[in-house]
Amino acid sequence: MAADYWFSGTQEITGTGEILSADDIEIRTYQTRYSGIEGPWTVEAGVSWSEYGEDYAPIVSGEDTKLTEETIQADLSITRKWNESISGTLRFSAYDGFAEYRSIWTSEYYRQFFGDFEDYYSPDPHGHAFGASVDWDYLPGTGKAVFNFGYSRDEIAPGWSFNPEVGRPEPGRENLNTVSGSVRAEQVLAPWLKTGLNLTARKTTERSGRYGVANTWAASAGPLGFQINAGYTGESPSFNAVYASGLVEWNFLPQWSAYLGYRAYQDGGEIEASGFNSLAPAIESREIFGGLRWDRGDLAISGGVGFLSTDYEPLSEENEFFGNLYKDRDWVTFRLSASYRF
Amino acid sequence: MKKLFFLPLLAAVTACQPVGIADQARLSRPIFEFAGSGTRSYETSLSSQLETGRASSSNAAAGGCSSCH
Repeated sequence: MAADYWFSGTQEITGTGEILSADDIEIRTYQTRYSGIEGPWTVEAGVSWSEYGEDYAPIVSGEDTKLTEETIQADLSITRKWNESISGTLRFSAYDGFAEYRSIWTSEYYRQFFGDFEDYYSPDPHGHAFGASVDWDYLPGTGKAVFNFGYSRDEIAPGWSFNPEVGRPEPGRENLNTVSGSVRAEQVLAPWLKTGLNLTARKTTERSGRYGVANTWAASAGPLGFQINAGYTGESPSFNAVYASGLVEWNFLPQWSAYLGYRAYQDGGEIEASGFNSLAPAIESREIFGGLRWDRGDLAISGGVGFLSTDYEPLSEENEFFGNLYKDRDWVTFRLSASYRF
Repeated sequence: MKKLFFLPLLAAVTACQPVGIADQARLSRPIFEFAGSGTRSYETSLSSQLETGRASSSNAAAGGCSSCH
């Protein structure tokens, strides 16, 4: 009877938990997703919950504090398959809470510095996004291109600075609008070889456009699978990031596979857009990760662990008070996911 | 020089071999998914909070990062 109330086509429920943990910072995210197919329509919805815990430790003045924050995010997408080669998707997502750990840290810095002024108020970060995409299977089964367009608006936790002319602190910009687009092309070159090219562009309020390119190759040989990826992202006047990764997967039993990967990343430091400088200096990071996957067809479970290290360049005098935020760390990542198709 | 840059791509596209039904099973392995998620993903998405220049295939919200300029 339950099927009468749900979609008549394939449905899938997925649950995923992820952890990023260092000695003084931990992020936990739990996500559940549902997708269902009804004729040419596919509906997908997801809800995620994130928990942040940080041991705030000031460099110059202030007090050590244990920070905790929670963020909820939801998204919904509807896809219509028009014919054998074209489908279109509309997406909407929204979140309430901090979207990353760094702005929790910097917000505490501003609260300790300006919190006694009556003009100061606590941040209330939240945001939403709309998106649309077109999938074009230009060679069904072997060649595919995906065109994405997105718009998002974020109400952010602002930076604060003291204005001596009016004798009180004032917040910096409190919202950001972002327009983004991407094109991803995937091409099967042989029954054992596939490549993909991803081009991205993004424009955010008061910033120059950010452009990226990434190329991925995948191959299989018997029970082994290989994947390599390399990419570049640039933004005027001075942001440049390069990254690469390699992965080996071994299908050692009919339903079991294991994987081991390594990836590296470096950038030249974030760009100061305006006002107070809380931005990250240049960073180099690398991670070795591995995991197991069991896939019965309708039911699948995968789990993995990674060891990630981040090395920042020394901070300048302008932002040395964020030295404990941007210090070198060794992180451990965990990931566990299960899906059921019916 | 610019023509040389595009030669590998041109050769790759024109060298495509036909893919049969039997080959589709091999190509359905997660290793051939470049935007895999859930049980078909290999990495945690949380590392993007550290590596802000890494391209994301996600079309979700920008993230509201007040310090990610």
